[in-house]
Amino acid sequence: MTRRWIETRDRLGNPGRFWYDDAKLPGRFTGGVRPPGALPAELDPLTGEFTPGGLVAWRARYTAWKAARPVIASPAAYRANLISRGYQILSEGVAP
Amino acid sequence: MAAAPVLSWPYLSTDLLQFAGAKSPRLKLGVYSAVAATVILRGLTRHGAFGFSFIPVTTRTLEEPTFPLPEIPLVVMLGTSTSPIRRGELFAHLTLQLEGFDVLHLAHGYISDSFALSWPPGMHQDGVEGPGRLVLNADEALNDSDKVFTVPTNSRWRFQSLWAELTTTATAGTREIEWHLRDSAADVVAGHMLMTPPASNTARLWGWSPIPFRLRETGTRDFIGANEATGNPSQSASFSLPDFPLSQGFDARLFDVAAIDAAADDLIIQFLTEEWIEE
Repeated sequence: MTRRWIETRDRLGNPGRFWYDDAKLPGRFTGGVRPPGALPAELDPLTGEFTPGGLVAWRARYTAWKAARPVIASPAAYRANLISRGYQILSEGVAP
Repeated sequence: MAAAPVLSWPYLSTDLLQFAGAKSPRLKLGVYSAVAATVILRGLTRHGAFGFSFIPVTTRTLEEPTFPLPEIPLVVMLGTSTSPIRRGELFAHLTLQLEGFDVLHLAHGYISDSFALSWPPGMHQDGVEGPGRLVLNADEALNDSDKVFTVPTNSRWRFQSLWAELTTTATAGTREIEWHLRDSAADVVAGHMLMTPPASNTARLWGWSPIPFRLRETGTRDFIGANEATGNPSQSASFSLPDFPLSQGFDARLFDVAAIDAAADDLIIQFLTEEWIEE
């Protein structure tokens, strides 16, 4: 199992390093998008916990969000994903 | 008649050094680079200007090219023609060689697109002195609750912040989330075990920073430790981060020790490190 990274700069030149595990490709990537949170109607107003129906509804929305995430099958696909999000690729590295 | 002003050290002149090797000096560049850059070496001798360029590898590996000069230089400047290059990304040494030997260490320190090393007088700064560069590290992969981040070769890290989002599957079981700082032999040198282990079908957020901060502040749910995703108190939290420098080969691991559904739970991590080049 090898941990690798892609060195980047964002649109303003800030350095970034996107890590991935080549033994776990293909994998899904969030692309920096937050997963869906709970809606007030899904929570018990007294405890803040999910109601039974709320949990099912939130899980369904989360599963749909996850299914819509891009599947990254290779480092090249990940580089393309990062470029499409506005990152400049500088180099790639392997954890020592 | 008064002596002419001397920019270089007065004894470093071809007139004074009466041996053959003094007429064929070289400049040795030692460079570590974390990014793609073109290093520019320029200067003056008594009979003209000289200039060289060099493109180092981006693995922070020491490279030491040498450049021949027609005579001992009066002034030398070492910079980069690449932009942006920030402090902490490109570290260099500059040494004068005569007869194949290092005879004078002229300067060493960071080069950036707004700062060059010059000799004379020469500047000498270690790579881990002063502020480093800020690097945002991210692992965005879903279906994985075991993430390891290793300090790259010839680097030093100091954590500035760590942010984690965990969403567990419907697979039953108590996830035991811990983070470990480990040395290069994978011995744990520091760690943190989360005291409210998440179960199945839940989402948690955790933040670590020098000073803990509130994850949520909405009306009556005004406390440290609210869960942004579920609104549930005391399930997510913010913690202080130990101020450890980490050397090359050390790593930080955030993972579910119990490995309940390690290939299906989603753990997303973003953290800021201050990073230096360490020789």
